[in-house]
Amino acid sequence: MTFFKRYLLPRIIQYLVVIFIGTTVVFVVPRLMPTDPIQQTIERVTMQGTYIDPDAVEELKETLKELYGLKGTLFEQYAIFWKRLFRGDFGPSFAQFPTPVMELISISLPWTTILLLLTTLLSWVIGNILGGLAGYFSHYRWARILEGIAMFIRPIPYYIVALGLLILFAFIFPIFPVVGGASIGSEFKLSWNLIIDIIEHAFLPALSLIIVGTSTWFITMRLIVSNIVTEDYVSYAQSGGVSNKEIVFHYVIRNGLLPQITGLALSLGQIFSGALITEQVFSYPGIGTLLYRSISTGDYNLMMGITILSIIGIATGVLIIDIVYPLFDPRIRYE
Amino acid sequence: MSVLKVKDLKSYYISEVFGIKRTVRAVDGVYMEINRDEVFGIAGESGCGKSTLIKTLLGMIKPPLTIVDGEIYYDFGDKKFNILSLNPDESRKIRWEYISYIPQSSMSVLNPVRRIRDTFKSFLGAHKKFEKDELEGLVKEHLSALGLPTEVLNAYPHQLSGGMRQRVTIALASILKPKVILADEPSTALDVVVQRGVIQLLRNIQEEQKNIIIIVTHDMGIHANICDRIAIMYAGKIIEEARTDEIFKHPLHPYTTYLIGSLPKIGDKSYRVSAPGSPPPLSNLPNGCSFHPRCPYVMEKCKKEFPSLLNVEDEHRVACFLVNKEDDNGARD
Repeated sequence: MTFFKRYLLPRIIQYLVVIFIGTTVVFVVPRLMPTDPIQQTIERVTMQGTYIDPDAVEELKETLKELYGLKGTLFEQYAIFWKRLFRGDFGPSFAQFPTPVMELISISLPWTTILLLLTTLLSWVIGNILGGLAGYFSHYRWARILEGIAMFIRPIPYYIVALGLLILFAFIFPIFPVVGGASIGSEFKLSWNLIIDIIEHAFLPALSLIIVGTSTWFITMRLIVSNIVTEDYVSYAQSGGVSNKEIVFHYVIRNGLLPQITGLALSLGQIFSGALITEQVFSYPGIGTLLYRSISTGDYNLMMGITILSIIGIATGVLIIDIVYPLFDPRIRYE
Repeated sequence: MSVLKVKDLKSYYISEVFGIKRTVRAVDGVYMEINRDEVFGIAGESGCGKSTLIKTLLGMIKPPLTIVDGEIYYDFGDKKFNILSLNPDESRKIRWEYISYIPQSSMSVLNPVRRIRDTFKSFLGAHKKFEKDELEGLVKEHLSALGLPTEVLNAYPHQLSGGMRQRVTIALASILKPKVILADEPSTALDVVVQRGVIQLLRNIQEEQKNIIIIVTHDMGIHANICDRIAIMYAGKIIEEARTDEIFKHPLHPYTTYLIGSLPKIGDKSYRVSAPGSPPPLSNLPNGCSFHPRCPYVMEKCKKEFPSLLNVEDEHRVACFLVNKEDDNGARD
């Protein structure tokens, strides 16, 4: 009970406050912008040369205001905004009117989630293990080679890596498809062909993310470990004849993981904002592509929807880490 | 019969940064012979090479520490070896089973994220195969024999007091009944009451297991309490070595005289004189006897030659021209 009262409750309250403030900022910022989405929509319609008589325009304005949630004073709008939010309704998309934002997101989200969840976890695990090993056995040649590779990859801008892979494996050697998340016209029924097709399409984006992600985690872990190997508990275990394997995993990597776990939580939270460049380069139908489209078309509702989702994602990641961290570091306890 | 024999041991810290070579002569020509069932004390100021000597005796040689010269022979009856000529894997197996170690700072030597039980498991498991419950039983038995609560096994290091942590490291060092225990300042970070308990614990272990304990500390009181023989180290060399009562009654080297003269005595309120100045940096030792800049009896000879450690009386060796006036041809038995 004390655990709940003194540890969990304050953190949950903090979590809700963060989401509340974040969402409020997301609500306010577009309304401070000089552009008027209703005027824009009407202009878009009239630009095409259609004549609408002024009464109809007034009517249209009212309808749009209500649809967009722009009716009434700022405070009234704010109340409506929250009411909608609790129903999971982010309003209609402006650019693809009247499809609800929620529907667009729920189509894109699985693509991004699966791709990023898998690549983030894989590169975290591989990067940390290799970084830990290379840090502990730093005098071996293979460790130096690994470090050299990571040092070489790390400073290359991500889009160069992604484009390089795309050119190499989809264009010069056409092993993998160039665009999309699945072949055009595939039927979305659960079948082996579909799964293989999806994996084939996801392979290059995943590879590019894993290459860059792994080398980043590798370098951080390698640095952390180079400090840990000088710790007294490591040399004491060595003086006790404890095997290198045990020292690497239970002493060095185990202690080095503590800061890395925080990093993992944050990058897992960022999944919901998508991988913008990856999805653009590989024309992958995820949240990143959606976000890019919403920005280029001025689709406020969609932007807000994605932003709120990523706020919730990161806040949840931090909350989960706060709760499970004592499992990893016994020095932090719920009092 | 001697179990440990150290011959002309020289271990230096050699580092090279931007092409500038720096040599710190931490242990510079040490001879030692330690017999079975003996508690041997090594005393000296901070930075005289005591801890490096212990590390070398343990075979824990990691760069920049380099063995320049010398031999360390262990003779355990069934096993005879020079620890400096073993390969890393062999010396890893020897450590803890034959030669164990009590570290200087018990505050940071235990893995902070593992329970004490797991530390025991990884230290023991590296040397012997155990059945599932056998290990637990052995550890519990050992802890209660030493008078420690078995609950410490469930604790993480940060939950234990400094004294308890030091006792845990002592229990770890003695659980495999090693032939030699090397203790590097085992009581330095502790308060006096806990110090007494820790020293008592060491003595009990020695009485029961009959192992050699080599104890390094600058605290002469502890040496007087526990040691059979004491060696005084100065600037990487042993300058005097004798039985405990002998060295306290008849110190011969001027440095030893200062060291013992500075100890307080009950009832005696006179001003205590300590050696003037401070020990020389080990990277830049003076010529001749390294103590000569601080020595009140310095002679011309002391500035040029280094006196060798010679027998004065039975089991009392000293390296000083004041004592060995004629015998200075540098030979040693």
